[in-house]
Amino acid sequence: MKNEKEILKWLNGDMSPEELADFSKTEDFSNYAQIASESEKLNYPSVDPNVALKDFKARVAGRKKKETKVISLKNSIFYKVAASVVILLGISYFFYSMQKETLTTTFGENKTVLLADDSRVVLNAVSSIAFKKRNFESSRELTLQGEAFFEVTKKGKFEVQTSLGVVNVLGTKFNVKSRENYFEVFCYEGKVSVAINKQTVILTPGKGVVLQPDGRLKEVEDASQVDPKWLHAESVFTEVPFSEVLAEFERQYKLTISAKNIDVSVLYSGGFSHKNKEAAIQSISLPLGLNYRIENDKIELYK
Amino acid sequence: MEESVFDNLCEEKQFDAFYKKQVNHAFRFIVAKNKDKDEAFDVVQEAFIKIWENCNKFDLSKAKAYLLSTARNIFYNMKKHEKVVRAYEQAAPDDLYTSNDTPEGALQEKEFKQKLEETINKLPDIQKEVFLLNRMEGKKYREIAELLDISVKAVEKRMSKALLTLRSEMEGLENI
Repeated sequence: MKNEKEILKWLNGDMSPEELADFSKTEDFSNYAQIASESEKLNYPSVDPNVALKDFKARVAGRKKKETKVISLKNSIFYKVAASVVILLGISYFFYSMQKETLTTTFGENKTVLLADDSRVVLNAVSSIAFKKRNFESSRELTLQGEAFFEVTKKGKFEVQTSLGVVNVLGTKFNVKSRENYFEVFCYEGKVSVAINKQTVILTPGKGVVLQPDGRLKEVEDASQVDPKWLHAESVFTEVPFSEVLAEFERQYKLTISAKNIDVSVLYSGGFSHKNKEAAIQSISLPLGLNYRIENDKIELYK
Repeated sequence: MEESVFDNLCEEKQFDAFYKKQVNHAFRFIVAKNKDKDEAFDVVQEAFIKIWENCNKFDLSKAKAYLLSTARNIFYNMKKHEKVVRAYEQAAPDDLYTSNDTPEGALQEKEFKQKLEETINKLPDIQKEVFLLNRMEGKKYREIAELLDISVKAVEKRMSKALLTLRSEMEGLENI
């Protein structure tokens, strides 16, 4: 089209009388005039408005029957049902408060919880604890999924239940890590008893245990630590399967790591920071002679 | 009657007047997309039901645009699900459709009209829609843009493309 702008302006009715007079002398005008005028009165079928309106009324009337009925509130069953719902909610809330309080952390998150007995729990990333809210002081029991550091006040028995084993303490500081295929307890202060697979081990400060694939508990020792490294934004491992190191990395940085063709059962000793992704991935890949590629929230490890 | 005359579409009399005034605009708009008259009529009736049910929930000065865009949405939703749900499986009333055939007129003019209609019908849907809204409904590009929720530039582009096709297809058929 030669004068696209002019033609569009004309069809939009934006031309002044003078402009229109000039435009009507052009070739464009003679080319398009008939198309424009004829297309205004095309032979599309139409309906008889009165007949159509009647049909419309019939449809609306039919539609109304389908509408939800409005039930009067007075003396209706609605009130009874509503009242029962309120009562049920009340009862279930009572039972709920008798039951469990659950605290959860997500990827890369830590949370500190002060329990009713003044004991302190710090949850590492992607972990949760659950305990009874009422009378917690008289029966100090909680369940743990994931990893947490405990500073327990000296008030008698304190029990941590995990899917793999039970940890009983008096007053003490200890760390429990209970992940899918990994279980580790380390004692920093006081005494901790770990019961798992019918074995019971008493841990003293600077000592810990790691559950081995064959079901044995392997003792580890490190007297230099006063609390776990992850409280200081670092994950440290001593002869831990590489798969668990990668899993921990994923929890701290909320990403997925693919490690095709890599033996993840090898034992890794070392650690990574929670503050710098690039430096962190280097410190776990370089020692094993691996290369890495970072793409958004995915990391690929390869040889 | 100007659209601005309507101040309350929840009132049956006003709604009826609005219906009678607009039903064929909406009907042609949908029929142009879809040759099946009954299906188009169902879409239009559904659109009016929406208007009736929401009579106080939109800007009345834009009632016609609201009607057309509602009909359009209903039409495309039906197409999307590929199942034409007819709310009422009743045949359209016998006396519903009226013919606009004009008996007089030169053969040449008839030929031109017929070819023009064929060519318009063959246009891509998005071009046809813009072209017909401008020509048949006399809508400004700005109004079309608002109705279709696209930019004025996009409207102009579609319009230009439609014109180009029409111009080349209609070559030699003019009766000057």
